[in-house]
Amino acid sequence: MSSAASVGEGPRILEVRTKILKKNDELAREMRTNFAAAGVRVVNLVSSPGSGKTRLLTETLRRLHEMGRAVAAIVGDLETDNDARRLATSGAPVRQIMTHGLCHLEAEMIQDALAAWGADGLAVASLETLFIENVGNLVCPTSWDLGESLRVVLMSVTEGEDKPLKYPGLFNTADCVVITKCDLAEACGFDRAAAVDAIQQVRPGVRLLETSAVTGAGLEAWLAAVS
Amino acid sequence: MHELSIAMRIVEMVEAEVAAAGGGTVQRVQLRIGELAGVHEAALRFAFEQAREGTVASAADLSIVHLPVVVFCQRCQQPRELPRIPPLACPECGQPSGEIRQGEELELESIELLERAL
Repeated sequence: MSSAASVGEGPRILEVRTKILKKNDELAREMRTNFAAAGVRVVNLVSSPGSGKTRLLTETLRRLHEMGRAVAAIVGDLETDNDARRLATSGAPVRQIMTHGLCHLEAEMIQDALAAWGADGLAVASLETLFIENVGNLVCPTSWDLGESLRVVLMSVTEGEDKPLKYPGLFNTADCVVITKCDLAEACGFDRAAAVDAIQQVRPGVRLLETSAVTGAGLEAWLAAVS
Repeated sequence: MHELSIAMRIVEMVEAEVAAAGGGTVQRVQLRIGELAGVHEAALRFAFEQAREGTVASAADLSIVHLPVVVFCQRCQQPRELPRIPPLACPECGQPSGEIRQGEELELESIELLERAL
């Protein structure tokens, strides 16, 4: 990889020119290829803590599971398996990854979780959609490809319309942005036009969906986008 | 603090490169980091100081080249460097652009080894 330059007295420069997350990128690429070959769609949900990932995903899993669709979810948190227990009320298979302090999921963690889950009897290759609920964080998950086919960035109406402007790096990696908790929009004085403008400023042309897991508003379009 | 994960990867890569080059003491590690990479420099420097301990890079400086975001403007048909983000839009004509040509880099550029003549 490296080509040693100057030989002789003094410092010697090794030219490396390699991505620091190369190992993760390569593994993620291999996983994406394998998922695609098996016909498994992988959706990576990323947002700040408390923006409604678990609620939306529970409702999503419940509806798809009731429709007989083969869906499952992996959820990452620093500690506790509370979210896995919430998601499991949907009836779909769910697995918790506890990162013990790490602020994001990495491809290897997904690979390990799927291997352990496979050993426990989950037929990963027969899934239609695998959801990954990332650790709630708007910075750290940006650079970690998990082999997903769709990266969804969520923001709730309670967070402030300018969230995308504050975290352009992550929003810029979104394949789809979902505005959640729309049932609370009026109570929060949510300025929809400002939010849409902020999203467009950091990810021009990105697909935008608006949902409420409480009222069910927007869920049909959301389900169509992820299944 | 994903910077600690990144710092540990950097040290792993440096150790492998230095071993492949026949050993030596690392004086400097040069990185290229784009503005959209989501890396906080102070956090990365702090993490690197922890990660380098007991390795060939234990005394190494971290040198970071920051890369601004460059998008391709479809209207101007030109790559444009953005003076600030957001917005991701052409600074000349205002056309929004998501075609990123630079700014997502997170790369180990080079390693400077302190070493006498071979």
